[in-house]
Amino acid sequence: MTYVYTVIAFGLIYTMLALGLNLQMGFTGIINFGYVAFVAIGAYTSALLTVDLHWPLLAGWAAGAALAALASYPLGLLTIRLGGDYFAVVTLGFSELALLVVLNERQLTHGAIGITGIHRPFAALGPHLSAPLALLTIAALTAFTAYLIWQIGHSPLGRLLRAIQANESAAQALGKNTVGYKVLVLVVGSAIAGLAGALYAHWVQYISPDQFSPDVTFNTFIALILGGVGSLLGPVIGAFVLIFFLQGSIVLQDYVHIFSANQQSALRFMIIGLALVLLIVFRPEGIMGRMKSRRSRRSADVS
Amino acid sequence: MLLEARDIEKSYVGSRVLKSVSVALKPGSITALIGPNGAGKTTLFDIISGFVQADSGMVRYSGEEITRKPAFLRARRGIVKTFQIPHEFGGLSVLDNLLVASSDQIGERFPVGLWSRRAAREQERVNTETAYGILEFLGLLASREVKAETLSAGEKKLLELARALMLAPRLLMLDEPLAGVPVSVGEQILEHLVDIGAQGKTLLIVEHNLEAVMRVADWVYVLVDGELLASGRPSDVQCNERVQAAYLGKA
Repeated sequence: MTYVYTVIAFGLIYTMLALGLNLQMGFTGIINFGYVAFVAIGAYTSALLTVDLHWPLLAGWAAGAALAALASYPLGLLTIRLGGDYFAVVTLGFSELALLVVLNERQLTHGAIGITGIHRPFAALGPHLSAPLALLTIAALTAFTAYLIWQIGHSPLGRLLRAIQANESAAQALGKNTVGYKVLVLVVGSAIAGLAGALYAHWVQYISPDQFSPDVTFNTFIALILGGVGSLLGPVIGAFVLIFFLQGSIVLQDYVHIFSANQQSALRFMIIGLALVLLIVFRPEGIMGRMKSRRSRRSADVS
Repeated sequence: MLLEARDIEKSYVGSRVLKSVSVALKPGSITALIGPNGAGKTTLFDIISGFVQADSGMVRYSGEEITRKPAFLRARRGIVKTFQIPHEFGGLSVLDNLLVASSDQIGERFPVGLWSRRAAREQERVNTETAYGILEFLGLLASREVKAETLSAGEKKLLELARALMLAPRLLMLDEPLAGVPVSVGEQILEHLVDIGAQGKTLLIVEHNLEAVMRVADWVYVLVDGELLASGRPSDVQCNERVQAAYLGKA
C-alpha cells in the first residue's frame, strides 16, 4: 500500500512540475533547462527551515516556493532578453551551479550527506494515517495549481502569453511589456517548482543533492511532451504515464531476470526515448494535444 | 509637429546607414518615406517606433523627448507600427489577434486579473465591440473565428492594420503596406488608408510603390543612401530632377 501511495505522490508531484513548466514552455515559449534548480531550492529551503530551525510545515512550504520564485527573478531580469536557445543554456548552467552550491556549502546544506528526518505532514497521527492524509494534501495543492494554470490559460493573460510566444516583436509593437511578462512567467513557474520540491522533500523525508540532477528537468520535459505541450490537461496525463512507466518497470525488475539491473535501467530510458520519438513523429501535439488546433488543421486541409 | 526626428545618425559595423536625417510629421497628415532599397528607410522607421536606437540625434513626440523610450512604451503613447512581413499571432483567431492588442486590460494583470473577473469580462465585451467595428471596416468580419495563420497574404496585411487600429493610435506607421499583396487588395488598403487619414490620424508610410504613395500622401521624404535627397508635396517631388535621376529614373 505504501508503494502505491508513493507512486501516486510522485505522479502528483510530477504533475505539478509539468504544470509549472507548461506555463513557461507551453504558454510562453520559454525553454528552461534549469528547472530542477528551483525544485531543489524549494526542497532544501523547506527541509532546512523545518528540520534545523523547527519552522512549522506550512511556513516551510511557503518559504520554499517564495525563495524559488525570488531566485528566479534576478536570473530572469538578467537573461530573459537573450534569445530562446541562449536562455536555455544559461538556465542549464544555473542548475549545475545550484547543485554545486548545495554540495559544497556543507554548513548550510549538509553537503552530500543530505538532510534526514524531514517530517511528513500529519506525522503525529502515526504512519497509517499520515501517508493517506499527506497524499490528500499533495493532491489538493496539485489541484489548486492546475486550477490556477487553467484560469491563466482562459484569461486575457493566457491569450497575451500565447501572442508573445507566437511573435514577441508584434506584441511589443502593440504596447506589451513582453520582457516583464516573461519574467513574471518564469517567477510563477519557479514558485510552482519550489512548492513541488518542498512537497517532495516532505514526502520522501530525506533529500540529498543527487536527487536534483538534470534528470528531474528532463523527466518533466518528457512528461509535458507526452501529455501535450500547451494543452491544459496534458501535464496531468503525461506525468502519470511517465511515473507509472518508470515505477512499473522498477517493479518488473523483481520478476524478470533476463537483464541485469544496470541493463534494465538503461533499457527503461531507451524505451522512453523510443516512445518520445514515435510520439513526436505520429502525434506531435501529445496525448491530449490541443483539440482546437487539430480541428482547425482539418478544416484548413479541406479548404 | 506631432513628431520630429532631428539629426538622426545610425551606423552598422562601419557603414553609415543614416547621415544626419531630419523629418517632421504634421498632425493629421499622411507622410510617405520613399527611396531605393538600402536607402535606410526601415532603419529610420524603426528609430521612430523604438525598435532601433539611433547613435545620435533625437526624436520628439507631441512635445516630449522619446529618443530612449522602449518600443512598447511608445506604442502606449500612440505610436503604433505595422510590419512589412505580417507578424500575425498565427495560432490565435483573427478576433483574438485584435483583442490581444487592446490596451490596459484588467485580465492581463497578475494576479489581480484572476479574481476581478467581472470587470475583466465587462472590459472584454467593450473591446469585442470595438474589434467588430474595425473588422467590419476592413472587411474581415466574416473570418473573425478563423486562425490567423490560415489567412491569405492580403488578409494578413489587413489584419496587421486592424490590430494596430485597436490601439486607437495617434501616429500610425505602416511599413510597406502594399508589399506582397495582389493589386486589388492593394487598392482596398489604399482606400482604407485615405479613410483613416480622414479620421484625423497621422500616418507615416514607407512604400516602394511610388505611384500609389503619390496618390495618398500630402508630404513626401525621399531618402537615398542614408541622406535626405528631397522633401515636399508629391507633385513637387515628382518634378525634382535629382529625385528623378536618383530614384524615379531607375525605378
